[in-house]
Amino acid sequence: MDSIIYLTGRFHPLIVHLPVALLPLAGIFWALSKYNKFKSLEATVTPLLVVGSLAALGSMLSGFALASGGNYDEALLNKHRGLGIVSTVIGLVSLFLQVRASNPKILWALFAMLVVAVSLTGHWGGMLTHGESWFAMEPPPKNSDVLEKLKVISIDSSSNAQLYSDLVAPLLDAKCVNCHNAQKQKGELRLDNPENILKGGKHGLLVDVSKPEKSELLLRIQKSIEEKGHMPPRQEGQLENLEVELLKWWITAGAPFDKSVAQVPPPALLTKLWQAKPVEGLNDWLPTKSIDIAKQSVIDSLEKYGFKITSVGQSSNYLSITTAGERAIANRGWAQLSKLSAYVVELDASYVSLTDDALKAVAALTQLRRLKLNNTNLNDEGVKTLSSLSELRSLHVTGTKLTSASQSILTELKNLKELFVFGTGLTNTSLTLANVKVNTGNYDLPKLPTDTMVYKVK
Amino acid sequence: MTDKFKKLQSITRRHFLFESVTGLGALAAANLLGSCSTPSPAAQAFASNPMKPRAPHFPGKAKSVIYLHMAGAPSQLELFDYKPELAKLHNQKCPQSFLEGKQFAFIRGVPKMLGPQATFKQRGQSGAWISDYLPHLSSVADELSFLKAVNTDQFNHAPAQLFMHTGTPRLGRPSIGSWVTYGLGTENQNLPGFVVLTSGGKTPDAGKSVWGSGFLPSVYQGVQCRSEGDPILFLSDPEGVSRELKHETISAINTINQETFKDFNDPETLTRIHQYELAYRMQISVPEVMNINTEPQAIHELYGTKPGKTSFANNCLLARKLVEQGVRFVQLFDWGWDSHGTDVDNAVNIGLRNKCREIDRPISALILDLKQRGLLDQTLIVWGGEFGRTPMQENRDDAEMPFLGRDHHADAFTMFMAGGGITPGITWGETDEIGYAPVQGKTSVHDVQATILNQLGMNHEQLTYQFQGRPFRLTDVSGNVISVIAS
Repeated sequence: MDSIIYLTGRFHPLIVHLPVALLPLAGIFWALSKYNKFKSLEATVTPLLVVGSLAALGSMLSGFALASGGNYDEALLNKHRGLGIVSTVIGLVSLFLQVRASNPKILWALFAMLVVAVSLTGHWGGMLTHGESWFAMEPPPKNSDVLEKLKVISIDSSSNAQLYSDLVAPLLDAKCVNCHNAQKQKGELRLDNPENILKGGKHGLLVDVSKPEKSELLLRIQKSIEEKGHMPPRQEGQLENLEVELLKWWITAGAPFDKSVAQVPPPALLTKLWQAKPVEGLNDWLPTKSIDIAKQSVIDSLEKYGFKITSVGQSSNYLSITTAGERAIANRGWAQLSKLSAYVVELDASYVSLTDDALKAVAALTQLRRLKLNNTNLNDEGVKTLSSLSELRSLHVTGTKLTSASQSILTELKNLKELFVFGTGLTNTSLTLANVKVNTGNYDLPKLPTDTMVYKVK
Repeated sequence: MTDKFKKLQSITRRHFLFESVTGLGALAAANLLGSCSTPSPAAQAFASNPMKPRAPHFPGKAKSVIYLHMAGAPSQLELFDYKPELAKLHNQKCPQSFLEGKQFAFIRGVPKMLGPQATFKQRGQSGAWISDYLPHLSSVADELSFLKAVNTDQFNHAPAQLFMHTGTPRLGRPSIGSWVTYGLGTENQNLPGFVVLTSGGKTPDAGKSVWGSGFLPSVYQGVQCRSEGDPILFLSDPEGVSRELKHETISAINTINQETFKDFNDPETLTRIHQYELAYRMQISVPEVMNINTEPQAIHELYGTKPGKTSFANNCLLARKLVEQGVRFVQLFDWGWDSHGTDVDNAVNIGLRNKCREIDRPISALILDLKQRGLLDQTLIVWGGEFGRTPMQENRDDAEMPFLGRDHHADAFTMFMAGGGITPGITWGETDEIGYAPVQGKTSVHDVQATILNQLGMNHEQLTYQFQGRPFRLTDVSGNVISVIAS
């Protein structure tokens, strides 16, 4: 019997669409039919009321079944249920009176009340399902917002940031509270305030103070995404690695609500992870200004000369060009390259024999962030033309004939962050450029006795 | 009889069957031909060159991948996962709790515990644990990031290798390299986009399917190159055929192929056209790039190459040269890591040391060589096996083994990544005191695959291919990018 009630309840969100659509529609068509232009709509009102009211009865039944399963905010549920019953009654009365062709004034009043009642019932029903924040003015915070907060609140051992209210609570708000709040309690669990977190839910307590690592919350967020019971559910936004560790830190400390970071120092793993420096790359140096897409005809004609042109990403109109596989590009091709000077942020012309025209063309690419001219015939003279590339962050000139004479030119590249000079004459001098990581290469691995030791049975 | 009856009588069973068949055939044809509508400009561009370089979903840091797969499953307990508690339990009977409900490949009955056979130290600034089996790798420890709680659900080689490389333990799906070239094409149009190099004496257990293209057009399958003799078989011109004659022949064949493609729209025809043209270009480009003899002596010493023979060191040097020339995905397989202890060659304290010596210098050299050429930040290096090895001493059929060895262990093993924009110096994931189960930072095979795609600028959920009525992807239906190392 229980399962029949449960199954009936499951149909409530389905059936409810009928009265929500048909009953107000009956009212609207009835009102319209009072004008000569829409007189023909009069015939539709009774059928609409019949189907709508029957469906409303079905919604009521399934609604009772669904409500019996619990999990909904009592106050809101009572409002919804009460007005739902009222809507059904008004619908039936309207039907009765409409069929009896009663006084239009009464019917006007009834239909108006019907539209209002059904709309309000539906609105409350939506809130029961999706939470009060459904029509929020702002979208919920994205992952990066929460993690950025974590990084900004200085995680040093003397920090006064509150572990729960400054770090854990915003994370729960962003990723968990949508389904575990006052209006919606999946698994009979609320995560929106300390009291309710400690209460736990259908599957017991969230935090096990005697064995914190075995706490239900931790077990669920550490399961693989395909395992049963994994939280957050697969179709929702997932927790980042660091967010999992943050919750672990807090729970292992006994889920304190009133301690600061200084009083509950983070585990070594978290400190290490926070200190880790990500590698910088082209996607960190891209221009912030957006730009309209380059002309396809220009790209097509350049590709005929041997340039391979792609955008840096489908979401961006900035371009990355490589000459991979080519050993020479016609001067006319180089000349045309300037047409894309506003777009090209990366150029790899390694192994190509560069003419003066080629270098002039490269120097005209003012938006270049990364330039690779490895193993080309670039020399000290040629580098002079490149000094105009003010936005350059990364320059690769390995295997070229550059000497220390180029050093002064390279200092003119104000935004340069990394320089690769392996196999050039620049490795002989002690090349120092302020704020630039210079890689001279020539790495060596020492000869070890184990390099030649073959292990056999003793 | 009336005319109506006569007419009905003249319609025999034969007519009925014939009309049904034509009718059903028409239905089928409509379905098939439905896909033969005029291709969109994007599809046409794709059709003319399926390997053309394409933009990733979002700007990523890596342009190429070098995947180093140690076929047989290297023992993480002798290389990276330091377990002093396990040393204390050496030679003791394995507690029942670790055996209950578990399926082992070869262990039967109650095995003994096997302590780590290597000495471990923390290396570099990052403090990564690396054993003395890999001294050179220890010197580049700060470039690496370790995943120590990778887990899989396959405990035999072939299905596990398929799972690692195609996202499912069963045959028929494309490998990572195929997905990557399908999504991004390749930069150098004179070389294959996906190259495979093997060493160690045998092909991995899963066979060529681990670099196969599955249901993707076969233009995306891995091209196996040999590091000894002719890099690609049957590439050079036969006697009496000049290169010009070859070119004319291929052009003529492809003109006919183009017509065939217009008629039938079969992607395999495109593959054929593309491969003929690529083979022609490869006649010049491949011998050039695959010739390691032109490299300076210093480089040979760095890698420890063995010119003229097949070796992992040669393959690492080749991988660098291929990536330098704009190849998108280079897959290296080294066979011989299955340290069961049945033989001296697969004893964890003897044979495994020799295997480590074979890879230690080359991998470290590869990282350093890519770094000095400015390629490391844009080349993602992935190292790992298909599963791990047990903390228990293997006892095949409940008998004592001639040598020390470990059985297959799917629950937790170690992989590492370097370059390609991965945040270096991180160790993510931890196993319990004896290295048996993951306790923190559990990572699935699909997570690793999602991360590889992420570094290349691709969203693993968006890189799909329509097949058998639904979209397929490398990571099947799961996988999360490992955000703590990805960027």
